[in-house]
Amino acid sequence: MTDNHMITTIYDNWKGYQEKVAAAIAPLTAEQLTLRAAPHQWSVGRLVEHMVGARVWWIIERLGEDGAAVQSLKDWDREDEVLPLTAAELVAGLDLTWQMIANALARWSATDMEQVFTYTHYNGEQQQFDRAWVIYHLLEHDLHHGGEVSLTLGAHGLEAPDI
Amino acid sequence: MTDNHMITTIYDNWKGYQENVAAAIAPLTAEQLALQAAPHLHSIGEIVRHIIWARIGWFIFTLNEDKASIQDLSHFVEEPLPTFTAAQLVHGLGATWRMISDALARWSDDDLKQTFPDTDEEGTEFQVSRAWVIWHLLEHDLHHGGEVSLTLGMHGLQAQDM
Repeated sequence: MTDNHMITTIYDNWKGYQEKVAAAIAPLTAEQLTLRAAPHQWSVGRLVEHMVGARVWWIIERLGEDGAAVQSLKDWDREDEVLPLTAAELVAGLDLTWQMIANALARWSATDMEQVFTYTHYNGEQQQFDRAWVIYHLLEHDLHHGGEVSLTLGAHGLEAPDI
Repeated sequence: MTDNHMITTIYDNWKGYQENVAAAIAPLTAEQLALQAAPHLHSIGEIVRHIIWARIGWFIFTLNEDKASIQDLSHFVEEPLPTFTAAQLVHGLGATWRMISDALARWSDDDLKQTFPDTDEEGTEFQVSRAWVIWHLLEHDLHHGGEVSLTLGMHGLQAQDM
């Protein structure tokens, strides 16, 4: 774990942000989790599934971390299927995957963050990234889609995460 | 500017994200900037104005940074707030990004730890460090950027890519 004040400030508050998202969805009913901003857009529940699934995909599938504890959550982000997950399951998914990220951040050194990985897509295209980029991307992904969750909840008169 | 790889990765990609927001709103008409997700929520233009307003507010009014570099943006924080064109909003994002970027290049690790007093809506004073303000503006940009993206998408307009 880094002792850089700026980085620890970001990590600590990222944790707080995703806890606010979890707190906002925790009381939602199955019906409220299906609410969307528009018919062609994702529901509140689907957005959170996407956030959880992306964390597993990047950390386990692309960085090769041990995924025993979260392997089943990878399928939460299937494009062809929306899982009927409850609010409690979504909150548990956020918590479990946050623990996965936090454990990795505690273990990785500054040198580890610069290690480059190559992922080959199904069409043969290769993508290169390092651990630092993956961490930034997951931070960005959480906050961007957290904003979408917030707006969708607000559009339907429900309490949204406060920043 | 710190040479830590993680932090430069964050700053570089945050810059890219906010450039994508600017690119998404640049071609919008006044009518498109007025689109909302719901009648009681902010329009696209108002959300972007809020992003710019927050950057100026935290830097100038809380951290007491020199406002010379954003002198022409005073209309983003003075009531009553006007309705801005896409070009004005893009300019506001660009100018306030340079304000942030210049500060990040200048501040040392000790500077980032320095705290400043601020007051919440109930009048209670609290302390914030420069590092917290940087986090909060990153959070604020991306969270509201997501709102911009969703609002654009629900009206069939091109949202920023992530």
